[in-house]
Amino acid sequence: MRIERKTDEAVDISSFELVDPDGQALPPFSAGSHIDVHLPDGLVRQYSLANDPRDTHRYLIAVLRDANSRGGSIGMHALVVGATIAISDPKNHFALAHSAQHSILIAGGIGITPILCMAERLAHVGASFDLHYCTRSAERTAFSERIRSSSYADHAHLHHDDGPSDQKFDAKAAIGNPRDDVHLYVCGPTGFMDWVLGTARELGWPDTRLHREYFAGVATASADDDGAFEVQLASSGAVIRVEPDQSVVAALAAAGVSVAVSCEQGVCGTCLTRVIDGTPDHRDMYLTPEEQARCDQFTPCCSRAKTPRLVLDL
Amino acid sequence: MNPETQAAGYSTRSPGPFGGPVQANYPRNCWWAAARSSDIGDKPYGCTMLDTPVVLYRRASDSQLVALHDRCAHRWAPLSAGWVEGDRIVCGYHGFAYEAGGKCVRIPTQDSVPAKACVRPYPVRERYGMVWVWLGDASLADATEPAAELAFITDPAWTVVTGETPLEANYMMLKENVLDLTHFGYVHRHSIKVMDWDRPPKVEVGDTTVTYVQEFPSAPLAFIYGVPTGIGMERTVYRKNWGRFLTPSINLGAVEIRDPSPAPGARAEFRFNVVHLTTPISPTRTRYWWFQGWDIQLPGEYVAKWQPGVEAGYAEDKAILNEVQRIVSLDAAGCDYPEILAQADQAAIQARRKLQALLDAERQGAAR
Repeated sequence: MRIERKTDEAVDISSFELVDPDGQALPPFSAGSHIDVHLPDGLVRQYSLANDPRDTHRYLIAVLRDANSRGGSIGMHALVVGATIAISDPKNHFALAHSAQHSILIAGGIGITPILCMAERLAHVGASFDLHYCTRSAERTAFSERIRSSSYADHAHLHHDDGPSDQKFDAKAAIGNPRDDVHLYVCGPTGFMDWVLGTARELGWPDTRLHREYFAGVATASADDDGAFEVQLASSGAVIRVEPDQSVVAALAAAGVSVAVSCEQGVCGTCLTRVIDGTPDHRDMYLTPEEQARCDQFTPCCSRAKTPRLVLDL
Repeated sequence: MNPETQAAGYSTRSPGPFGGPVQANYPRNCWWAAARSSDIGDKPYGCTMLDTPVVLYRRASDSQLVALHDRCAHRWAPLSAGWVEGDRIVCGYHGFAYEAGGKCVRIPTQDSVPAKACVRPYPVRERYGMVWVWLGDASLADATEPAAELAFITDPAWTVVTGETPLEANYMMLKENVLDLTHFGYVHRHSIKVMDWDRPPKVEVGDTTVTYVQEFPSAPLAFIYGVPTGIGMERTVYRKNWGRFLTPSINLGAVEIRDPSPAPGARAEFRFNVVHLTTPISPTRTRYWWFQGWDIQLPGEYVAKWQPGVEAGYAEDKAILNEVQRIVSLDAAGCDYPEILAQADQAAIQARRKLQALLDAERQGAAR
C-alpha cells in the first residue's frame, strides 16, 4: 500500500490515506473494521478505518502520536507521502448490530476513527443515532470539521475537557436507561471505555447491547501527563532521574544498572523490584490489585512513580 | 540487590516449564485424574502419576475402588503385575497379599506378617467417568471434591466426545497452551480453522483460578461451531470464548454462542464445553484426557466425524508441545536468555502464580 496523503487532523494526530500502488480496488470493509499495519521496523499495529465503507479505492486511518508508545505511533508519524507499507485485509471485531432501532456512539480521543465510520454508515442508511465525541480540547479534536459539515451534525455532540461546563460529557444522560433494540458503541482509551461501560451497566444495560473496540484495550500506560521522577538505589545511594518519555528500566540501564526484563509491558513480572520508599504508579497486569496497593514492589519496565522519588532495593 | 530481580531467566521464580532444570512443578494436594472408570475392571491397573507408581483395583465385595502405592513392601515388585483376589490384591512375585487399607495380610511362606509390611493407601474418588487420586496429605483430601464443573460429561442432555493424548512435555505446557488460544491461527490453521484469535484476551484473576475471556461480538463461525449449531458459516453471531485454570489438574474452556436473529422456532443460544485433564507422569511426561461437549443432541453421523477431527486437533498440540519440551530439555542448565512473554501470555503467567502459591503452601505445610 502507498501513502497517498498525510494530513494533520489535530495536535499530535495525523491521518493517512492508503491506496493500492497500481490503483486497484481494495477489499471491502464494514463500519468498525480495522487493519493490521506492518511498520518498517517490524512492529504490527492495529488501526481502525475512518473512511466511508463505500470507498472502494482507499483506506483512511488516523494515528495519535504517543511519546511513550512502544514505537508504533512514532513509526507511523515518521512515514511520508509516497512510502509503502504492508497491511492486512480489514477485520471487524466491532461491527454494528443490524437490528438496532437506535445507536449511541461514544468516542474518546483517537477512538473517533471507527466511530466516525459507523456514524457515516448509519447516516447513509438513514438509521437513528447519536454521536458523543469527547476530547481534551478543541485543538486535539480530529475530524471536527468533517463532523460539523456532515448530514448528521445535528446528532453529533462534541465535548471538550477544557470547555464550558454546559458542554461537558454527562455519561448518564447520554447513555440513558436501557431500551430494547438500542445499542451502545464505545472506543477510546481503556479507562474511558471502562468508565462508559461501567456507567451503562449501572444503568442496567445488558452486555449484549454494549460494544467496545478491543485492540485499544490493552492496559499499558497512557502517557500524556507522565512526569519525570527519581529513583534511588538502596545499595549505593545513587540517584537516577527518569525522564517523562523513559522507563525506569531504561533510565537504570543508562546508568549502568541492569534489571532482567522479558515482556517490557508489565505482563510477566520478570523485572519485579522491591520498593523501600515512595509510592509507585502501577501500570502492570502482573500484580493483583491487593499487591499493588501494598506499594512494596513494582514493575520498573512500565510502572512509574506518584512521589518525586522511589527508593528501590537495588 | 533483590535476588528475584537478579535471577537469570524466568524460571527460578516461576513453576512454569521454561528455563532451568526441569522440576517437579506439581502439588500433591490435589485430586489428579488417574484413569477412566471404565479402565478398572477385575484386574489391577497400574499407572505412574507425579513420579509415583499407583495401582488401582476394585474390591469384589462392593466394587469400591482402591488406590495403593504400586510397590510390594517385600521386594518392590509392582502390585499391578499381580491380581485381585476378593477384596485383596496379591503380588505376582511371591504372593504377598494386601487388603484395601494397604496392610499386608498374608505372606505365603510364613505365619506371621511384620507390622510394618504395608503399602501406602491413597484417597480415591470416582466422578464424571474418571478416577481421581489424592497423593498428598490425606487429611486434606475430604475438604475438596473433583470439580462439579465437569458434570456435563455424564449429562445425557449433552453430546460429548473424549480421548487421551499422551504428551512428552511438562503438564503446564499444555495448560498454558489452552490459556492462550492465539495459537489457533498457527498450530490449527489447517484443521480447526478458527482464525480470528488475533488479539490478547481479557484476564480475570480469582482466589485460586485464572480466567481469560475473549468476545467476538459479531463474527461468522468456523465450521466446528457453525455446523453443530446449525447456524452455518455465513451469518455473523455473538460468540464468547473463555477458559479457566481451575486446579492444577483441570482446565476448562467454553464457547457461548448467541444468534441475534434465529429462524422462527430455532434456538438462539448454544454452549460448547471443553475440559483438559492433565496428570504429570514426570516433569516431562504427561497423561492428557480431553472432553468436548455441546448442549445439543447431535446425530451419530456428526459425532463420527467430530471425534477424529478433535483427535487430529489435539495431535497438533501434542506435536508442537513435544518439540518445545525437547528444545527446553536441551538447555536444562538454564537458558542464557530469558523466555520472552507477550500480552497474550497474561493468563498463563497468572496461572503460574496460582500454581506457585499452591506449591509454596504445600512446602510450608510439610515444614511444620
